Amino acid sequence: MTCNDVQNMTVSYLELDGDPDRIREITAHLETCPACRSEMEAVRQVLVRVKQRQVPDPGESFWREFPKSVQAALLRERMAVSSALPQQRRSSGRHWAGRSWSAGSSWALAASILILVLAGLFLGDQVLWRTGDYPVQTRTALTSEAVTGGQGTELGDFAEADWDSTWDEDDSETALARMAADLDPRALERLFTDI
Amino acid sequence: MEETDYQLLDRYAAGEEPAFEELIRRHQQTIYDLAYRMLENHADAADLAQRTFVQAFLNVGSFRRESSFRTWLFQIGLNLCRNAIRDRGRITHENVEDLPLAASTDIFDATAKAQMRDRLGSAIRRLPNRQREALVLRVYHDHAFAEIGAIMCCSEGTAKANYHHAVNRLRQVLVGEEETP
Repeated sequence: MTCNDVQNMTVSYLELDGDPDRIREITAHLETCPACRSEMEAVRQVLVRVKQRQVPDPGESFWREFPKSVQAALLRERMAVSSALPQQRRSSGRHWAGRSWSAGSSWALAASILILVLAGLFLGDQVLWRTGDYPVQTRTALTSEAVTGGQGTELGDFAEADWDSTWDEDDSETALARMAADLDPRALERLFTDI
Repeated sequence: MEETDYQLLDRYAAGEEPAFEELIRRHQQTIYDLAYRMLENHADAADLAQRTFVQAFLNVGSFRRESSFRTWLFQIGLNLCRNAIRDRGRITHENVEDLPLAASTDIFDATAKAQMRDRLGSAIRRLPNRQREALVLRVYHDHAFAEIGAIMCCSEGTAKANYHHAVNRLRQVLVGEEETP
């Protein structure tokens, strides 16, 4: 066993924490090695000095009163918990209400679906039209008065309009936005009826 | 024959108030000692010891008796200590030991100088938290390393390594002290 081995095991040796054979080997080494004995004594002194550090005693009255103070604190804590429970239930109810669908959010969802449907129909219309598979009857039913340039007329009024001359293929997004903005409920109703 | 902690817990669960007091009396000094050694002042230690027992009794239903009640209390106390130390760390402050002392001839001067000389105390305070925890649990509370591992929520080997590092670091500090004229 080398000095390095011993010095790496000083704490274990002082704690008698390790294999008994190993402890015996260290003891044998210490008997013949003053340097390791000195190191071992230094570490032992550290432990002794650490152990000697005292915690000031807070006094008899502190210990006497301590269980009562714990009991009082526990009671306060339990009361706080029990009073918080109904509140939590209420707030979790509110939370759920917050998650549930309000009338406003239902309308927003309906409007979103409508816009998506319109966009889908419009884009599908574009694709079909470009590929030449577009039936004329469907095409006229899907166009709006805003696209044809008519004002305040129903969908049927522009079924016969000059659709091709008013349609600007390069500005399909603007046309879609205008369609969505200008459609009135009756026109929408007709639109879906036609579809 | 003295009742075990488990028996006292059963009596407490059955609504016997004296069992509650007996459990606290049995462990109050060790938990206060742990708190004081980690936080180093009476007010914080007293508060933390109280909160340790409150937490224990509030959650006694979840104590599965896989360890001793004492070990469980140490786990709770040490967790609260860690939180307290972490919260302290959020408040920036100067280390008073690094500040020059105002000229004084009264007893305060002597006490302050004595504290400044206490390099060991300062070195213990400056140990990494895990090393300090292992040192406190081993030296002052005589826990076996397996128990220290259970309290610190780490392996026995890790607990042992933390303890060894702590002692070696303190040894280095004291060597420095001896070499300083």
